[in-house]
Amino acid sequence: MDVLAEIARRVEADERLSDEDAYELMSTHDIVGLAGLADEARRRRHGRRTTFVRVLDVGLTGPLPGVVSAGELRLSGTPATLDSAIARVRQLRSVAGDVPVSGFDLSDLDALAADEGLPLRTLLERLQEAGLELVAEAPVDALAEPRAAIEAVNMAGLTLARLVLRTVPRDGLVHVLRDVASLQRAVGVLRTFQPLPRRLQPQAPTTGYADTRQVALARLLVDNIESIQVDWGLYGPKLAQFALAAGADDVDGVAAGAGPRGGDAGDEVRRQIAAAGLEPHERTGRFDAVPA
Amino acid sequence: MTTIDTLAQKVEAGERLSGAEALELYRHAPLHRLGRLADRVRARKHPEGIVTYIIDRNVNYTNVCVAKCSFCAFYREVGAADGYVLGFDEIFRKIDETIAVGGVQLLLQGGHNPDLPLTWYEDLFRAVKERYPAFKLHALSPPEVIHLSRLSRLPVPQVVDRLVAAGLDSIPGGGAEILVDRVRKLLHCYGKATADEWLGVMRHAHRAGLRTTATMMYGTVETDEERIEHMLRLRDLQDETGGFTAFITWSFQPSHTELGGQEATGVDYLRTLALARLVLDNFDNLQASWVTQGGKVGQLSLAFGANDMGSVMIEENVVRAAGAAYCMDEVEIVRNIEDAGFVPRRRTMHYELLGGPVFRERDVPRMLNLAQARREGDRSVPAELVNYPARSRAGRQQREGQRSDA
Repeated sequence: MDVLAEIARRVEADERLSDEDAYELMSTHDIVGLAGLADEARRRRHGRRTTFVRVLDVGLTGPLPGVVSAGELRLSGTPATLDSAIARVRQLRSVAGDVPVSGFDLSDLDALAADEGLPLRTLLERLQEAGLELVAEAPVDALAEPRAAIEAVNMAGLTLARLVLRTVPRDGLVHVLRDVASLQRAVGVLRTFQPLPRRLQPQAPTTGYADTRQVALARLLVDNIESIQVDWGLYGPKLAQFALAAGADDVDGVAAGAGPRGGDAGDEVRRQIAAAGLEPHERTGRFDAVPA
Repeated sequence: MTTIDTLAQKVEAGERLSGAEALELYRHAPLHRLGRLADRVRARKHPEGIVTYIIDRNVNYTNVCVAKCSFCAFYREVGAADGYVLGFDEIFRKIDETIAVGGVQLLLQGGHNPDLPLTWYEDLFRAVKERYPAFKLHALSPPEVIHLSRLSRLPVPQVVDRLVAAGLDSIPGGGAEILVDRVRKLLHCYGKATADEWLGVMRHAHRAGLRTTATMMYGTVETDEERIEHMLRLRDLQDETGGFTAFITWSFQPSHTELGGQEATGVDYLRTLALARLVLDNFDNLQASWVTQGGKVGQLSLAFGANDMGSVMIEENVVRAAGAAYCMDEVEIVRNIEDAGFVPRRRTMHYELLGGPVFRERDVPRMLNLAQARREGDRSVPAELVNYPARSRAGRQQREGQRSDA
C-alpha cells in the first residue's frame, strides 16, 4: 500500500492526520491523489453542496451604488481615520437595504486603532454602530495577535467573514495550517478560511500544483473550520473551479453583475460549479441561503 | 465491481478502449479517478519522468482567409484594410529573434489567402532553408494544403511533394476542429476540409515520410460521442501510418467570434485531456494547452496525462484574437515542470531531446509578452508580392498599385 493510500484510510476513518502525514502530503507530486483525498473530506462534510456569494465591492471614496443586488456590500481599502471609515460605512448602510455591509482588513483596523489611541474593540464597536456587520477579512499571517483581534471582533458584535493568508507562508504551510486550526480551537467563531494568498506576485506567480496543494492541505489539516473558500475574482474561474475539486466548498469574490467576460457572473459561477459535478447554492454574506 | 472499476482495470492492463467504453469513462468516472488513470498511462509511456517542450515561434504569415469559419476571430476578408501578408524579410527577422532565444523552428500557419500562390510558399521555404539550413519549418495545416491544392489545381500529394522539396519539415495538425462532418458543416469549416480530406492529407504526408501532429478543438457544437469519434479516427490513422508525433487539444475560445457562446471549463479540459490519454493508446505524446487554459491548469495537465508543455511561444495571434491571453517564457515553463516533479527537456518537433533549459546555459532575454504578427496599424505591403499573381479582384488591384508605384 502506498503512503497516500495509507493516509487516505486515516482520512476516511476521520482520524486526525499526524505531522508526518502532513509533511508526506506536502511533498507528494501526486497532486490528483492529494486533491482526491481532500475532495473526499469535503464531500463527507458538504456533499456536493457548493456555496457562493456575489459581492459588490465599493471603495472608500467615489460614488455610491444605486440599487444593491448582491449578497454582500463590501467596503475595500485602508481607511486613513476612524471618522472617515465611520462616515463611509454610514453611507453604504444607507443604500444597502437588506444587504449586509462588510469591510476592511482586520490588520488595517488593528493598526488604525493604535494610530487613534483606541482599543481595537472600541474601534470595532464604533464601526458596528455605524452599520458595519462583518469584518471582511482577517489575515492570520499579518496580525500580531490573531486570537485577541478575532475575539475583539466577536465582542464588538461583528462577524468575521473570512480568515485569510496574505502571502505564501514563509514558515512552511503545514506549520501555518496547524496554527489556523489551533486558532479556531481557541476562538471557535471562524466560519470560512481562504488558504490561497490574497497578495499575488505577478513576476513569480504560484503554480497550479502549489495552489491545489494549499487548498487540499487546508481542507485536511484545518478540519475544524466549516468552509474552505476560494476567491473567484482573484484566482480566475479555471483555478477556482479546480480548487472546488480539491477541497474548497465556498466561493468568494463573485462579482455582483457582469463578470470580466460579460454575462452575469452569478450565472457563470453556477455553470462552472455544475460543470465540476457539484451543486451551486447562492448565499449571502450572513451565510444565509438565497432562494433559487 | 462497477463499470468504471472494470474499465479502469482494462486501462491498467494496457487494453484498448472502445468508443462506448470511452464515453462511459468520460461521462461517469470521477475526475480524480480519470486523472490518476491517465497519469498511470503517461508514466507507463514515459517512465523517465521527463516533460518536454519546444522553443519555437507561431508565425501567422497572413490573416486573409476565404474559409470564414464561425469559430475564428483571427481572419480578415479579402480586401479588408487590416488584412496582411508578412514579407519574407519580416519572417527572416522573426526567425533571427527565435534563434536568439534558443528556438529551433517556426510553426507557420495562416489564412486561406487566394492571392498567395503555391510558388510564394515554395520561394519562402527555399529562402528560409538557404539562410537557416538547420532551422525547421513546421508549416501548413491540412486545410491550407487543400486550399493550395485547389488554388493550384494540383492533387494534394503533388502539393505536399513540392512543399517538401522546397523545405517543409513537418505538418501541424491544425484545422482538425472535430473530425465529424456534421460538426464541420455547423462550424462552416466543412468547405475548407471534410474530415476525410483532413485525414487524407495527413495520410499522404505520413506516407511521404513527414511526421505531423494532431489536434482537437472541442467545446463548440459537438456531442460527447463526436468528441470521442474524433479521437477514434485519429487512433485509426495512427494504427495505419504511425505518423503522428503528438496530440494537442484545446477548448474553443469564443470571444470576438461569429459563433460566440461560452468557453468549456477547466475541469472539462482536464477530463478531455485525460480521456485522450486513455483512448489514444498509440500516441506517445500529449501536449498541455497552457495558452488556452493558463499556466496553472496547464501545469495541472501534467497530472492528467500530458507529458509535454508544448511550445515556449514567442508569438501567437490566433487564440489571442479570440480572448486567450496567457503567456509563459522558458523560465516559467521550466519552473512549472520542475514544481510538478518532472525533469524539463527541450525537444524538436520529432520529440528528439535537445538538452536542458537554454536559460541555464546562457543569458537569453526574458519575454513575458507574446509578440504579435505585426504592429497595430501597420498596413505595409511586402515588395516581393508584386512577383506573384493574385486571384482576387482586390489582390489584383493591390498588385497593379504596387507596379505603378514602382
